[in-house]
Amino acid sequence: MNNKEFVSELAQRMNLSQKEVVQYVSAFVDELSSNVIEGNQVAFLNLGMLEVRHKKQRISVSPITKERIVVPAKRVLAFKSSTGMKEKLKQLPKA
Amino acid sequence: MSTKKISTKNLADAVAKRLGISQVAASKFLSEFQSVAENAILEDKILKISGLGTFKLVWNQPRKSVSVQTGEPIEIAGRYKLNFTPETELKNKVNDGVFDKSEQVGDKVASTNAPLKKLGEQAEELKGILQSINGESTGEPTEPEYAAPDLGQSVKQQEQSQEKTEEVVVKLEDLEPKKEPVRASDYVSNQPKCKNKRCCAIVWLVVIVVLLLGLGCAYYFWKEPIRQYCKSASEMVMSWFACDKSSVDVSELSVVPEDTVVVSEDTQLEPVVVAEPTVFDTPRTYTEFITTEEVTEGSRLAWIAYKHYGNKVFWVYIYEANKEILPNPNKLPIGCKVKIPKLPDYLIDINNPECLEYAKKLHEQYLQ
Repeated sequence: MNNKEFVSELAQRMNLSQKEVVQYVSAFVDELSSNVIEGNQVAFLNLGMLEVRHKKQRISVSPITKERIVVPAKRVLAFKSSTGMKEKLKQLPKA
Repeated sequence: MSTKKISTKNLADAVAKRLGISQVAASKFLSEFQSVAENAILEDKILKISGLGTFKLVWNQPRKSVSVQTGEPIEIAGRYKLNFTPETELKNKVNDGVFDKSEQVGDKVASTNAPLKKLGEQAEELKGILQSINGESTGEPTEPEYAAPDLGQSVKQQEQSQEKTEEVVVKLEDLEPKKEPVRASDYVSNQPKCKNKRCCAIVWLVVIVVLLLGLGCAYYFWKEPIRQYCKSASEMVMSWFACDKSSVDVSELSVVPEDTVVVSEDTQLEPVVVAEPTVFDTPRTYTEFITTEEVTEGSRLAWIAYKHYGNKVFWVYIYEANKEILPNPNKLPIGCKVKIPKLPDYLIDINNPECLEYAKKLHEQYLQ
């Protein structure tokens, strides 16, 4: 489901216009991301947790040129799904 | 900053504040959001939220493994996994945000500016090191891309690809001691050390050989007895050569009679052995002479002795008798007359090894 579908679905459920819903959603996302950027662990509803993880710098070798490259240290946004969500996923029919 | 845990409720409050709506409305919105998102994920297995990213369900295939406790092969069941891929914008914000927020936050080691600069420097240095590793291990020219920014002048050397590696190594010497002195020394001095060792060994060898030679020379010139010994040895050799010319090998001749004598030895030898020491020790006087021989070119005392006594070894007696006119037994003055003395039989008994032995002794004595 893409963003458009998601917004329309949400608008339908809440009896709100799509414009309003987009406003709500963007407010929520802003709030969430700003907290994450500060380094907080933010609960993404009951789906899981969003957090920033530190990656150390490392050396990787290009498989083509065999050249060694230093991958600089960085921070990445990581998502950890909650146990409740995992349980629900287990109920899904196997692929 | 210890990481704070922000719950959904906190978020709802923040959203309500921002939008100017009641907290109830906000939490209602969030719960709706949640249910829609959940459904979307479970049914469509993908959910995109603009500004945040993509949630996606990924099927992990069942795989075989081994139980750690029992070692039995087991199968791990396949499962769905919820993956999240942040939007590029957010991703960048998170990465950059570290540096932006760091000053406000202040207490994260990695997020302060100074350490970051350090990290950057370290990265640059590491690049340099890596280049050197590449250069040394493969011997191929390394990419100039990394040399250019951190190793300032190396841009000039890009054209000369062969010299490049050397340049990098040299520069590393400058760079590395700051951070990793041990490793730097390892890298740089690997090959030169070996060469130095070899050179040292060769130099030492040469020095030792020269010293030994010098010692030998010094010893030769400083020690009188040694020089004398050398001289006498050389003279001995010379005289032996001369002797070989004048007389057939004495030792050979002395051996021959032994074979023939074997029978007589048993009967005659013992009494002779007892008597002879006195016989040989008595001083010999040469009063009676058989004949005189005139020395011509090529004549030898040994041959004369063989002619008259039957063995070359007995030339010594002739020499003894003519000592006045023969200064050197090997050099007979041509034209002089050699007296052949008449000798008692016990002195020139060819069959008696004692006689031969004694004559040989005298022979050696006179030649010296």
